[in-house]
Amino acid sequence: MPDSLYLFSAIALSTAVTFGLRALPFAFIAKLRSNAFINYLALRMPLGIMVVLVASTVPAGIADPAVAWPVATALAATVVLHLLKSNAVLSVLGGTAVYVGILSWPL
Amino acid sequence: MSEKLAIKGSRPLSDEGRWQQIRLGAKNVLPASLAVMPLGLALGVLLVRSGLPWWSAPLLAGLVFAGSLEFLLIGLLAAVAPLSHIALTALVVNFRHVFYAISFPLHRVKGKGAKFYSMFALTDEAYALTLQAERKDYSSTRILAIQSLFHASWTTSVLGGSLLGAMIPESIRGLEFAVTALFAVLAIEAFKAYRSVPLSMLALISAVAASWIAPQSMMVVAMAIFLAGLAAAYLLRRRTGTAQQAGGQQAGEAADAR
Repeated sequence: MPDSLYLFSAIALSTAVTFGLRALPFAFIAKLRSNAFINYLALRMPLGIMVVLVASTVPAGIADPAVAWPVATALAATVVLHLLKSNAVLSVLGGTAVYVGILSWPL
Repeated sequence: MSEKLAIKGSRPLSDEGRWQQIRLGAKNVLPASLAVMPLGLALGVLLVRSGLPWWSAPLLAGLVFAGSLEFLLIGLLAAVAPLSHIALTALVVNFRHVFYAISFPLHRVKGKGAKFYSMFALTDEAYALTLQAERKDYSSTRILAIQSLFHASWTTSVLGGSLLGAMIPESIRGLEFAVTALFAVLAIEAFKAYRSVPLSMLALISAVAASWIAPQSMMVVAMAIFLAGLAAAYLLRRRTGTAQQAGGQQAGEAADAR
């Protein structure tokens, strides 16, 4: 278990980086608004970053079918729920329930 | 001073006017606060289940105050990841906030301390909930009410989850999938806003390549490859830009419209 000093430092560091990203751009606001590359990125980054985040939070050892099928099933449930209902909370809880169900009560 | 005048508010608000503005802000923020409550509870539960102390839950929620990063940090903190890795993850995952400054109505928020807080609490939700601020003439008080009420409800949910977490039996496994599911939902929403299969493929290929090159720091490497790919595509488009602009490329037009 991580010690308290490490936890405090890591949380302080994340806070500082996040605040910097939120506050600094206001100092260059005019330049940002007119920069073509920033506008290009602003439009495309959300989708790409989210896809990367999905891929990188998938459990380790995904090449093993025994690990892969619960993930694939739960991910499919999440996506189908979201396409049908467009309710983020329902999709997240529904997909998680499927995954927890498969892992906690194996057949 | 009548309420109508108070809303227009070039003068300082009366107490009555201020409450009116706080009520309006509360009305704006309520759906978002309710929507993230289960996620906050899940974050708190996950945190305790990962072996982190309960008091780190309100710290994480109240200070970092960036939902998706908080979910990722649980795994990194539990594994005692190097601080450099944590800083880099925070930088890449929250980089999208740089773009929020472009349209967030900070000029409406009055006072140095208030402006400081407003930048600190510029979450995805704060950004989304104040998109109408200019058109609907939101007051400083109303914007601050939206942000601080959201801050309070998020921190409370996460704290609640961390206190409830101990009550969930050990035999329940797989709660961490909530993080993957959350990002899958956000990816679908992002796709609705910008429908591009090639862009999704670029991101997916970056992730697969990164898991081969650097399995230990896959996320950060994947984002770096993805951004490099985007920069290359941008340069390529600029070089052939005039021809494509004449063709009226949709993506280009959408970019210009922003």
